[in-house]
Amino acid sequence: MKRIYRWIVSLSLYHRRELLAGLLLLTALLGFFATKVELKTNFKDLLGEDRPVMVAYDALQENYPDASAIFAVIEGPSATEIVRAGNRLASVLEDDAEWVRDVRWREQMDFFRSYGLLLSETEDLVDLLDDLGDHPNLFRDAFAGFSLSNMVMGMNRSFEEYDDVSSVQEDEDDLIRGMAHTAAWLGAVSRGFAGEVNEFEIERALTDLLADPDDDDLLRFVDDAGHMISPDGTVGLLQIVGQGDANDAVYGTQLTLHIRELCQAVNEEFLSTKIGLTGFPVILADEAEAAQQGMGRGFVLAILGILAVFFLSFRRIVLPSLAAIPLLVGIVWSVGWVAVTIGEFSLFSMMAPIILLGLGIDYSIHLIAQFLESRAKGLGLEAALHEIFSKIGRGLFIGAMTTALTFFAIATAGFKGISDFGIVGGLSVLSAFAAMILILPLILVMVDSRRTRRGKSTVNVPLKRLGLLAEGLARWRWGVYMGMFIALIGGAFMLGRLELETDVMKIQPKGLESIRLQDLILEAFDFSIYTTFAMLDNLEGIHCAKAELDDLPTVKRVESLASFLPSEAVQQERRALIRRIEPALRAADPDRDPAIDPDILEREFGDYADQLFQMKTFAYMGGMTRLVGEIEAAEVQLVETREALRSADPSDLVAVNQIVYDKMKREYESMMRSLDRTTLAWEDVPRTYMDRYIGADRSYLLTVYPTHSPWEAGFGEAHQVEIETVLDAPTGTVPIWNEVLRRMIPGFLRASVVALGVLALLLLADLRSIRRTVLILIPLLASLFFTFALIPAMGMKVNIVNLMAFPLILGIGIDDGVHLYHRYLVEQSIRRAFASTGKAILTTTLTTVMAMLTLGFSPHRGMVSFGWVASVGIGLCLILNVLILPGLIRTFDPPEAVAHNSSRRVS
Amino acid sequence: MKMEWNRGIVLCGLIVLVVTMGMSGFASEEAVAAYERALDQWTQDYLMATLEMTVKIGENVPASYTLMLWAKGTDTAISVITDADVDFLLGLSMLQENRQITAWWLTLERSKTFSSSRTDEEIGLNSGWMEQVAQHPEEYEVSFLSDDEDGWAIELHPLENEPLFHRAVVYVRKDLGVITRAEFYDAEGVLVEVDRVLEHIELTDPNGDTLFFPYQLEVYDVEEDKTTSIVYLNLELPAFIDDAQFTLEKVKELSLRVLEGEL
Repeated sequence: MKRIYRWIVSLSLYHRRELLAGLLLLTALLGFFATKVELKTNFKDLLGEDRPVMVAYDALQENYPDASAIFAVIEGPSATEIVRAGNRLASVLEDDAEWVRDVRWREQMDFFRSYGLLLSETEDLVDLLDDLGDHPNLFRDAFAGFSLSNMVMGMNRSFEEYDDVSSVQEDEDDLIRGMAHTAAWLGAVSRGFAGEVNEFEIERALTDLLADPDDDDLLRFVDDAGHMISPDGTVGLLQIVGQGDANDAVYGTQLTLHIRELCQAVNEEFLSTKIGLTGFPVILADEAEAAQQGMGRGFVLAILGILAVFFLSFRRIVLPSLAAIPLLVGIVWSVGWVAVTIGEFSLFSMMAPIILLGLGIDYSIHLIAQFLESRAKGLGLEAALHEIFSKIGRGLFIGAMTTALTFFAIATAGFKGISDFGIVGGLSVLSAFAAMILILPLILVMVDSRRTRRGKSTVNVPLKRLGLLAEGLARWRWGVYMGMFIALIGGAFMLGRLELETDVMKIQPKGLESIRLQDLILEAFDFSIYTTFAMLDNLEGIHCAKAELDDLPTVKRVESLASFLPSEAVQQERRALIRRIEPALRAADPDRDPAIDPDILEREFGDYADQLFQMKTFAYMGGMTRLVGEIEAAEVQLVETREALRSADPSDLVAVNQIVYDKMKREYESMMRSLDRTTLAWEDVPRTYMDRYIGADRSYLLTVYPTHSPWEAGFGEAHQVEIETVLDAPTGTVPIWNEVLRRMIPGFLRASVVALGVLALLLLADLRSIRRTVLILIPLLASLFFTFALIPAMGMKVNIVNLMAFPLILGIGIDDGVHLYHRYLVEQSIRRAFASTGKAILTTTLTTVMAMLTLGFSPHRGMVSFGWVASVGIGLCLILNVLILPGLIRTFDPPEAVAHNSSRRVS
Repeated sequence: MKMEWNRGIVLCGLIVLVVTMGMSGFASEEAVAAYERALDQWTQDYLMATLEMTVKIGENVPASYTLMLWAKGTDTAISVITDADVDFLLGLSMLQENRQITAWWLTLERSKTFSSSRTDEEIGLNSGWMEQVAQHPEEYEVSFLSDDEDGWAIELHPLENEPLFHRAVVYVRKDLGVITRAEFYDAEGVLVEVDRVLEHIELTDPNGDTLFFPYQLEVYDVEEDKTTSIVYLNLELPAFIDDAQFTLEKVKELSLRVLEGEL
């Protein structure tokens, strides 16, 4: 190494042009490669493509483009306006064949209506049959007639059955639900009578009255034409399938940008509505953009902060500024090497360039500090350069090697995200080190020559107080040990509160519109865009899996072709039930008179009010106070409706009646039609559902919706475990994330153990002393311990991003101990070692912390937590090295012993 | 005559057996008699009372109301709701006659008659199956079940074909001779209802006899998780109430009086 250092000094002094040319050539070459590096911010990239869950995911992407759909969320004041904007957007998108492969805006309602009974769940048909047993006139009353007055008459007739407490108690839950829907329907009708006729609202309320919303998820979230509209009519949902793979970061971003432009154009046309995008590809693109924005800002702030620390330490302007050159070159080299080796930056490894700022500058600080010290002593330029490497060269080299090897050791994690981070980190350290020792001496020579020509002398600013402090601490070492012992107990207590963050949403960037819309979908449609997928070979398997999955407590709904094409056995079972339902339905015979007579309607409403009053007394005397509350709400609404009826404009009455008439007629005719459609064959299923659920490889898709947000603490893993009892190869965002979490902790532990082992071996090889190796490692391990303990104290949890700070603390933190110990061995004095090297390690720590803290400006919460944890950890390394190391040295390796060993070696 | 020792043991055993059987026979007779006396005390020829009913079912907020009641024998009664947490219940009046209950809603000007064997429950006035047993004791077969420190346990089996319950165990307190608890089981032996008398009041009937009347009761419907609490706020045992009190006209009148604030 000495020979290399001498060669560098010689090149810097006597072959500047050749050295410069060589460096430029190398930088240009690696810079070219650097432009080719790929930025992958998807956490699925953290796992590696060979994992079963990823193999299945790739197959899913290949065969089911719908699985990576983009969701356009249309917010507006009414369903009518949302549908209008949605229709326009759908038409614009459908015309854009270059980018858009499919648009899902309308469900095939004709199909659902025609096969309504056969497509009902068997349990729902059994329930219906039971209801018919209890209420034989169910259909007769429900379809008493299509007009408004006939409908209310039917409602009154159905209430006649509730003529005592027992009958009310028997149907208490149904009545509670029914009353809530009745109140909603009366409200919609009342507003219609008052001139605000809202077709969607009336139809939605009638749908809810006719079918138990809990039984039929699709009907609850579509309007009568099949558009996906939230039950309150304020949110619409449109799915867009791109021509390419939307989960590809580059294509996904381009697709998102393109569709956003189209949405913007539609937004300008329909000012009352607002269209936004969400879905996995959109969030991915937004997250990458936010992360890059944060990184750009963080990068600038890091440079400014580091230079400020530099100025304060060395009272110079030009030299620290020029130190940025090897720093930037080091970054270009490291990115170039990353491009050549692994070719990509992932969510973890993309943090390396910022970390490198802190690391790379450390080398320049040590070099400049020693150079200034040597020049201040009166040494000439060449002698000063030689003294740099003779005094701190070995420490620098060992420090860089330990850090780089620690990073490389992380590559043994067996988890791609962590492994990549290790490789990128290791390459970055080596690049930074190489750039500094090759370029900085050249800069020092050029700056020094200019200063000398101008007659300026070199001033060194020593840090004597740190030396005195270290000496004092060495003297009072037992007090320090005692204090450390107490701190360890406190730390152990805090460690008990340490928690793992399992909610991926809590490490994503804050304030992203796409994330707000994703939450809005969950709220408005009770539908999480994060589902689990599985591909099965045959339809029978799909039927069996669906039946088993339906029974799992964490599964809300299962979608597959089985929902549209039940197996023959299921069809047969349902046919038998339909045959038993049929007579009651055929006996309904509704009144088809479309006329509306306000007097008759008023009379029916009056009877209905009496029915409600009577039922209310039964409910109260039977203790069913919840039902009483619902009935009273319906009564209030009924009073309003009757008042509105009395003052209604005839045209509004006719309009409301027409909506009710058409809806009731449609529902009745659909049910009657579905009595005759009791066999479903392949050719009956609309093409769109075939495309959605049958892959290009002829596999069958199964989509599993969770009951809760899969990011809820503890739920995601429980959901995954349950699903794995049924499905062999589940995939999708949720399983991938769970796999990341499962592999993260063991991977991290393995990497940490290997890194520690490598560190210890390297130190042992360098120092040839177990005792000294242990002494250097003690402050480092204590720093790691206290950093973990401080995480809950800072109100944070361990997450997949900030966990990466620990190997980093290990690698960077060891430098402090190595430099101090090496200098101690050279100086044979604790005071002189800490006074001289202390300044450099204080400055390096400050610059590193500065670089880490700038991550706090990132909108990415994972990166923010990383910045905090790394700053605290690296800061603790310095503090604990200053606090503990002098005492340890004094106790186990005193200066007298060091001097004796040295003299023995000399003799 | 010299007796063999083993014969002596057999004889002693027989004597003990006979004495035990005799004692238990005596105990069972005493228990059944106490049970029948307790039932007699439960039902009176005439009764005037004000009682508070509270019904709590599942997660619902309890419903509570006060009722004025005039009763004649076991089958005839008239009542009106005079106070309740909710206004709409005020004035609801009911006439019970020949196992039928007619309810009158003054607000609706509508009456309704309930006529099955579970009339009380249909209108919500669930005073428990023990009350029904007390009103018609002849419909049950009674047998002694056990005797312990707390009291006697009496077993009931309904004689009719479609009974409300399949089997009941009634506990009678020895010192006062009153019923404290009754458990009702269905055909599968599952507990379906528990009636408890939490408090008895000592009264003197028109004949001058002292009796213990169930003053605070609790009926728990296991399947529905429903608890009905009945507390007598006021209780009188008059010698006579005129039959004119038990008519539909009286029902309407009582209802009106409540709404006008007279009751």
